[in-house]
Amino acid sequence: VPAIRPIPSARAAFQTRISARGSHTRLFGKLLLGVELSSFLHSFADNLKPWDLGIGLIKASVFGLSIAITSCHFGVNVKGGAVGVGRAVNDAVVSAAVAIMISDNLLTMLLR
Amino acid sequence: MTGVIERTLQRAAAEVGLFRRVLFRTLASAVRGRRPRGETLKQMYQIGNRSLLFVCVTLGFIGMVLVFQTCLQVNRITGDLSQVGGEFIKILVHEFGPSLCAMMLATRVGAGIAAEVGSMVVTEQVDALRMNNVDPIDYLIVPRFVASLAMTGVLATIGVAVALGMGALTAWQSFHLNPVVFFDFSRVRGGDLITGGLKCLAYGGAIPIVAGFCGLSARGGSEGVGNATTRAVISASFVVILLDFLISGLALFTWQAGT
Repeated sequence: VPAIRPIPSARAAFQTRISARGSHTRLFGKLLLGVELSSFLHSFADNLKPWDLGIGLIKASVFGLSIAITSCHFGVNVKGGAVGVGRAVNDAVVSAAVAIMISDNLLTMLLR
Repeated sequence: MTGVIERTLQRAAAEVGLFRRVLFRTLASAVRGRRPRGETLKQMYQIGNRSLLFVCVTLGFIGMVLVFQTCLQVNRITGDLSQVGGEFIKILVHEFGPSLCAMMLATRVGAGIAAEVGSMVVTEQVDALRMNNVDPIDYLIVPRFVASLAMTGVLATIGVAVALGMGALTAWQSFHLNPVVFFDFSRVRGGDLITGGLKCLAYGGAIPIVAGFCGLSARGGSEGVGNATTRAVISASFVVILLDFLISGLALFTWQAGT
């Protein structure tokens, strides 16, 4: 019981503070923070432009390309049985993650 | 048909049993200190030092992108960038720093552990351990568990520092925001630090257990090792996200971290 008791008071405090300061974690939406679902959805329509979708698609295809190239490189050059396969998978995962981060950064700077 | 269902259920039950055994045996043996001498230090080097560059590079770029996007959005709405630094530091400490660092570790460390353990399973080295009355969980998983528990917090701290530095650099170079204004630590409270530390401990413990379980359940030859590694990366990332959600909710409702 003592562990449960702070919950209502914490929720009340959080709700008032958030509604006074504007939304912080929006996806909780109406459920937790008292943001109307309709205004939440309308803000999507107001702020999204076709070019945003274009940026997303360009980024997705570049990431897909970089994953394919790095993974295929490590897969083709694998040596030494089961141990080698494990090491290749590890290297592929690491380099794909780094490639995604770097290309994401470059594309963000380039495309805005 | 019933045979297929029966076999699937049997396999699922065996997997659950193995996972439960890995989880409880690892926790119990870690408390009792049943692990090979010197192995933990070696694993700390493997998990910590060998991941340092990877974590720094990825978190540095994530910090740059996050600050860049935030400044773009704020510029579009209010144009007052002075609050960006304080809020960025706060959210980095209690949310993004530990979670993104753990996601990166789940890919690198999780794949490494599953590949190593899985290749030992398919080459029957684990059976050889059992023949010598050595529990493979004590010998293989527990040192990695202890090492990961210790090193995740260290890596997350360094990662947060790198992300902050790169974020401040981006804000300064692209948006002419003075670093003195950006480094505003006044909003970070004790609750945020506790939440971040708790997340580091939870992720650090969860990743080697999940990856070790996937490695121990590897079957077949090198293809089985590849499958186990893929499964380890997916499950470890999923567990990190799940724990993030649970701990964030707990922290929000108890000590109101993040408000």
